Amino acid sequence: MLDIPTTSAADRARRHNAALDAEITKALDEMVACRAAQMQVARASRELDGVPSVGAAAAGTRFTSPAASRLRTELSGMDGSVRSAAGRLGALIGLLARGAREAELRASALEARKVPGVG
Amino acid sequence: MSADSGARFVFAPGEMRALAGTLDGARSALSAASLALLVVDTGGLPGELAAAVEAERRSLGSQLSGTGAGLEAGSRYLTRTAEKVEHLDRTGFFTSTGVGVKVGNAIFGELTDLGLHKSDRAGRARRWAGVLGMLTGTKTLVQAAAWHEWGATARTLANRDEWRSATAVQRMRAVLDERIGGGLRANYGVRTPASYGPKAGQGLRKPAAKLFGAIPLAGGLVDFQQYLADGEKLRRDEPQTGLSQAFTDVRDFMALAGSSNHLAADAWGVAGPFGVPGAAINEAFGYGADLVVLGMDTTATTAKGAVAAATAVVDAADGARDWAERRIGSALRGAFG
Repeated sequence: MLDIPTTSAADRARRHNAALDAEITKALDEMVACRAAQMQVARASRELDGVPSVGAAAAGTRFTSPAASRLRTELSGMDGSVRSAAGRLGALIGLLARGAREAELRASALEARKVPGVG
Repeated sequence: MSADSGARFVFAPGEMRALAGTLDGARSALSAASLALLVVDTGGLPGELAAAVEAERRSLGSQLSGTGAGLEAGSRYLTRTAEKVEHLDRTGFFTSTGVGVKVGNAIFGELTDLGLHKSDRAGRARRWAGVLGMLTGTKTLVQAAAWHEWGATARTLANRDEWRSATAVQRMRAVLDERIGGGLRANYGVRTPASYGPKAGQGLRKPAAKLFGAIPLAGGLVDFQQYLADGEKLRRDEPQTGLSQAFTDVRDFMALAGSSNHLAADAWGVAGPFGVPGAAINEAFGYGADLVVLGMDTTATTAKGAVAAATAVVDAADGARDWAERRIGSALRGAFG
């Protein structure tokens, strides 16, 4: 027996809602992935905040030699490098938060487009 | 033993160890951050965001690992230097205790230098200055000797490969890369003048560029001609014998090897490094063998000349004898005939 597709209004609405549901699930999955990645990056950022300022520690020492002054210069450079890495991690967190928010907005917009009262 | 304010080198092992500890802590925190960054899951993210996060993560990871390597190197340097300084402080009693130890140290140093066939004038001066200072109570000499030792040690510490700056290594690597890459770029495509594109030229410039572009090919032709000529020269028989002929053969063979090397360099398309052995072989062996052959020829010519001269002398003597005999004969004939 052939499976003839019905074209009644209720069926069309049901199919429309099902397609929207799939989109919504996708958007919600993306939101969850963004939030998870954001938390992981935030953890890396917290770890990086625990790095002591080696440049300041080196500046507080008294030993002097050409190698020691080179080392001090390098260590203050490393401080800058760590700071810039922390800044970039912050930017990454912002990016992921924006991605999550966008996915959430998309999901709610799709939810609003659903035909109400159809199973 | 640390120093007073006027010195160029001041070593404080305790501070160094403390700073090394700080560096180690910073490094472990950095590696924890790297690890946390490594486990960030980009699987479910939308495409562009995943790519951006991935790229940023890679770049951040290399930045953090470079910084960590630098911190590790710094910590190692500090620990080793502190160890050395402490060791010197422990063994420093040779420079600060009594006469007996000082004299013993000086004699022991002399014996060591003798045994090692070493002439360490600075060491000898320092040791005996220590003895003299201790005997005369002149602490300045002792101090000077100690400072000399410190300076020497500090200089070796600063110059030896205990610690190379990570950025210096990177800089050297960049310079090397730039040189090698620049050389390759400079050689690449030298032989093909552009016949299209912005540097192609118009009107007469294009055929002129083609013509000038053929100059290296003409060089290759010249090298080929030289190769053929050298082969011919090797096959040809020279009017020489023995050692001289052998040297000529060697010279011709080396010339052939050199020109074949030139030809190979042309085929490689790299004029610089591959051409050098050819030129060296040609020049060195060519001139060397030329000199030998010339010397032997000269010797032969000189010998020939000497024989000729000797013959001439003998001939002249013969002639003189003939002449004398003739004169004597005619005189005798005149007198008695």
